[in-house]
Amino acid sequence: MTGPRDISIKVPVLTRVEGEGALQLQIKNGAIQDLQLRIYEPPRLFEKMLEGREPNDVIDMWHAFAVYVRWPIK
Amino acid sequence: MAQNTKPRIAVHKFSSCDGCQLAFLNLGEDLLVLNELVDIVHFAEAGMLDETASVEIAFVEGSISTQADIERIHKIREQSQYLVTIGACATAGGLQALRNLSDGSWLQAIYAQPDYIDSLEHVTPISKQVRVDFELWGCPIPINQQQLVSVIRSLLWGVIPKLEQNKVCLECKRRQQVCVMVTQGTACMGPVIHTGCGALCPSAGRGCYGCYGPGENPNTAALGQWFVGLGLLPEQIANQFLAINSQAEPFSSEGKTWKDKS
Repeated sequence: MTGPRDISIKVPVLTRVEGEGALQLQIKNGAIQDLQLRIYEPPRLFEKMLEGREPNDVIDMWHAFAVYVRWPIK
Repeated sequence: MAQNTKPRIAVHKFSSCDGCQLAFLNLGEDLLVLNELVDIVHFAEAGMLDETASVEIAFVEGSISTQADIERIHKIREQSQYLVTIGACATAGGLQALRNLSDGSWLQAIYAQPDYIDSLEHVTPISKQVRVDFELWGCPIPINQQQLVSVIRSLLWGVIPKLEQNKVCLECKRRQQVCVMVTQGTACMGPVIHTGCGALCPSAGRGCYGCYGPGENPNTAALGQWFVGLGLLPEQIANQFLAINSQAEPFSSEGKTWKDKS
């Protein structure tokens, strides 16, 4: 850990986020050369589907938005 | 069994919350047993990446929502002997399929520059795109995951998997759970919904909201009339049917019937 480093990170699939994505990061001599985040899963438009729903419906729907808000991990 | 003759399985993801993939990971010790029986070659959430590998069983989570998704699911079908959908999104479109019922303006209403978003107008379950061999319902797939394990075991041994067809009502009776609809006047989808959850919601004193999709020969019209008797408005009845499994028949048509009355 001495001096500026070169780092190259390429994550083809960023899992466990709502909207699957990919991340690419290139650091040369301690400076960011390239940083790209691509979200290739389209939005599911929760904002609109919740309109006109009962408050209790929201409780039944939110768990399907993203997995880590719903699952107890063993 | 020699190492190189093990059947191969893949777990693919489309538009979804990742929850059904997590059901796989949550198998615990069963996952270790499974790993002895099969080679898991593609499973992004678990770290294995080999999307183009030919496999004996492909599990597919999520629904189709882009042009690239359509091309990808056709390739997956070609390279897989059996294709099994897991969960409500893959089997019946999931929550995101609710936009199929809209006037097409949702994207514009939420995003300032929707031109940058690559998305099809309608969300479709996997079976609308390619042939599906088995469908596992639930949002997510079974909480106890026994259905998943039994399907894999059956397919590995060349047996047609047996899928539960009973309704949630029967599950309540087996558990001697008092009916929430009769005793509390709570709207419950149990009479038309596949069991598999172990009557989780009625056991907690609330109505079933239908995450397991329609069971065999569901009488949705009669249930709709029951909801009227409980004092629900047509829009509320429509919302019961048009939820997590809105693309599954007869929920789709029953929901639209009540929506038209509202």
